[in-house]
Amino acid sequence: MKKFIALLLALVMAFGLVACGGGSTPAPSNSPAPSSSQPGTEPSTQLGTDGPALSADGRYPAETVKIGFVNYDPTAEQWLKLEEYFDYLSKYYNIEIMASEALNTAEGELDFIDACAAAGCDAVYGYYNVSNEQALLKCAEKGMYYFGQGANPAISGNDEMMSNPYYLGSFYVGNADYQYGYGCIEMLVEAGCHKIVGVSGGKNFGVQLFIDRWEGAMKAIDDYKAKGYDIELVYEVPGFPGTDGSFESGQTTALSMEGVDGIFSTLTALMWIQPMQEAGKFGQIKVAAAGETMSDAAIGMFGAGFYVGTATEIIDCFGSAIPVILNAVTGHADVVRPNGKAAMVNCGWWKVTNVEQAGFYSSIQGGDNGWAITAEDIRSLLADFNPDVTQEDFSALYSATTMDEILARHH
Amino acid sequence: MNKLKHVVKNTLITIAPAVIVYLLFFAATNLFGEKGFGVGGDLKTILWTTIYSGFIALAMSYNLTSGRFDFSVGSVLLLSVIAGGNVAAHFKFGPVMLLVCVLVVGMLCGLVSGIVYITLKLPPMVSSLGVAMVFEAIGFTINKGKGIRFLGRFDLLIWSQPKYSLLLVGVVLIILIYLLNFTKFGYNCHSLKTGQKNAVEVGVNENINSVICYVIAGAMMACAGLLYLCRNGMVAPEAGLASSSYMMSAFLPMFIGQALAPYSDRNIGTMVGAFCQACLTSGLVKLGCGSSMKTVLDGAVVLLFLVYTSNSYKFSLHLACKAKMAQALQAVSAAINK
Repeated sequence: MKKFIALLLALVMAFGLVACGGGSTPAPSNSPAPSSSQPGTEPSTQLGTDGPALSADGRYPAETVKIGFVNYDPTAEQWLKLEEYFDYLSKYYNIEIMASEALNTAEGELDFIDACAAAGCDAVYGYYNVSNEQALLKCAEKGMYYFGQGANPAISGNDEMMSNPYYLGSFYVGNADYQYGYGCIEMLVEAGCHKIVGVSGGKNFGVQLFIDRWEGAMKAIDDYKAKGYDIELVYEVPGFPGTDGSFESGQTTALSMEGVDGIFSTLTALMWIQPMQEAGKFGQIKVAAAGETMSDAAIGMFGAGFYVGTATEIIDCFGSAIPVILNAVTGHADVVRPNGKAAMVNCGWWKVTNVEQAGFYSSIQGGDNGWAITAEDIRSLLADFNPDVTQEDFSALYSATTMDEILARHH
Repeated sequence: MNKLKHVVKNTLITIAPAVIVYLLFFAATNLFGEKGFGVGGDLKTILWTTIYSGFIALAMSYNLTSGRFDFSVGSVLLLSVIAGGNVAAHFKFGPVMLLVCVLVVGMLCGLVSGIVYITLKLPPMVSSLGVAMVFEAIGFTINKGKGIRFLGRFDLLIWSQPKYSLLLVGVVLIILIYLLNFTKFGYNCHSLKTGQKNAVEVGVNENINSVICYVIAGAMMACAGLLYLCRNGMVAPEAGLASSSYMMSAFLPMFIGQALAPYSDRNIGTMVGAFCQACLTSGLVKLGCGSSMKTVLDGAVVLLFLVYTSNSYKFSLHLACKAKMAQALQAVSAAINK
């Protein structure tokens, strides 16, 4: 019996290896290469009949492009939204996302990259990174492209890595987190706040994005003070709502302080609604949060006078990986790596200050109005459809994200 | 008269840790010019933290005292609130039915954990790890991974208000005290705790007892989850065993509960322990201790408490020896004098 089971397992493993071996690793190239089409497939009209060969179900390119996705929290709201966006894009583009579980060690990340190579991935999206340049070097070793980490000095700040033919660059929002923090204080000042409570999230644990957001906010406070505006940070609530009640104690202390009229949060501030209500201060204390994802809850809180502003990341910008990788995999790496070096796609972010804006931006994050950057928009960035496309066109599209610019593009 | 004296003495010993810790932090915060500890809004938060972490500690205590380390309690908290909350949202239930839905799911989860434990006969830590992963995954699949959100539903989220949370914990404590001290289940629990092999040999059914303990733990975690939901307005699913972090706040109250059990009741002792921990948390926040410093201090307090409880018998032994020595010396000196 044991021998039979062992034989059966060996057969299953052998079958699995054969099945997984189908994916080919791309050769980095700066010269355009014709995209291959599967024998017997006919181009569909879904993305136009005049373009390159499509898959049997009418998606571009003909062969599925597998992308490994290094994730840090599969339950995070931003990832769930991004997953929605990828699902939307995969109706038009022949992509398959292989997302990791929660990765928080360099060893786990490198193991996942190995698993991606074994599964025949063409590229890895470094949405999260623990091992710094090791992740890119591992991808290169396995013949896979690497995208992401636009603010990581070990990768995008390292000339050697930027020259690595397997690095495709990233999207870049400038010193985004710093700007989000700065922007939040601007919004609180516009709402007439003077005594501010700061919610610092993982700043004290050394998490960079929280540090940057906090520093941005502190700089804004200093700048406003220098201009003569009466503003001060009166209390800091560190950490996250959790298991031991310390965040909750901080909330209570903050809400019981005399004269507090504004809260700046380095993360979503929705967990302040109940405590504020219980303290009888709902609507009296104004809130601005960095990194809030636009949702029905956020819109409701703008309407209820809770939020006066949010600095919001645009999910579609994370999706800029798709046209970049598709170009590289189909032999147009020179488009996204001009002069043989990786480049950054400049992206915008949203400063949401009222319920109308919140409603609009929410509607173009998978809501009634689809997405800010549609599949059609992305097609203009693919060399197989638009031979004249340049890397600058990427930045032009992804930084044109104001309400007017989106409306102009959609109509 | 002696009985009354005994009751008064035990009551004083039971509440002494809570009073001492409260007064200690009250004095310390006032000494450093930090007003507001343990009064007004802060007292409300201490009460909330006490009841919330008390429920988790109670859940842990029903299994851990019998040698079953249940890794799945955090995932039960999440699943009961996410599943029960979504059912309540779907049927537009009020706060009482929300409590019922969450409790039912929590108890079902406990039942599953218990059945898995007695069926697989694996070490409880191993089986509960598997159960935790399954519960986390189920919680993740409900509502497209968005968990449960009742933001701004002040009419529904009443259970974090002191009067309702005190009512809830009061009812729960009465039931648990009755179950643990006046029923066959309680006697069996005690006998299994002190000598599992002997208890089983004299006819105690360990399997049924374990399943009931798991169901009680499930109900306690559901109550804790409900309090968390009512305080924060939302609960997101967790994955990769991240839910295990929920039980970290349970250890100090549980150990204090164990130490106070001989003087009153384990359930009451656990709640006293939870109050001590809540005062510690709030006091440290008031004194401006950072998160990492607070974690270090929490750990140090748990360690010191364990060192004390593990060695406290030595004090009694030392006193007994001293008394015996005095007696012997007295006898010797009496003999010499003769």
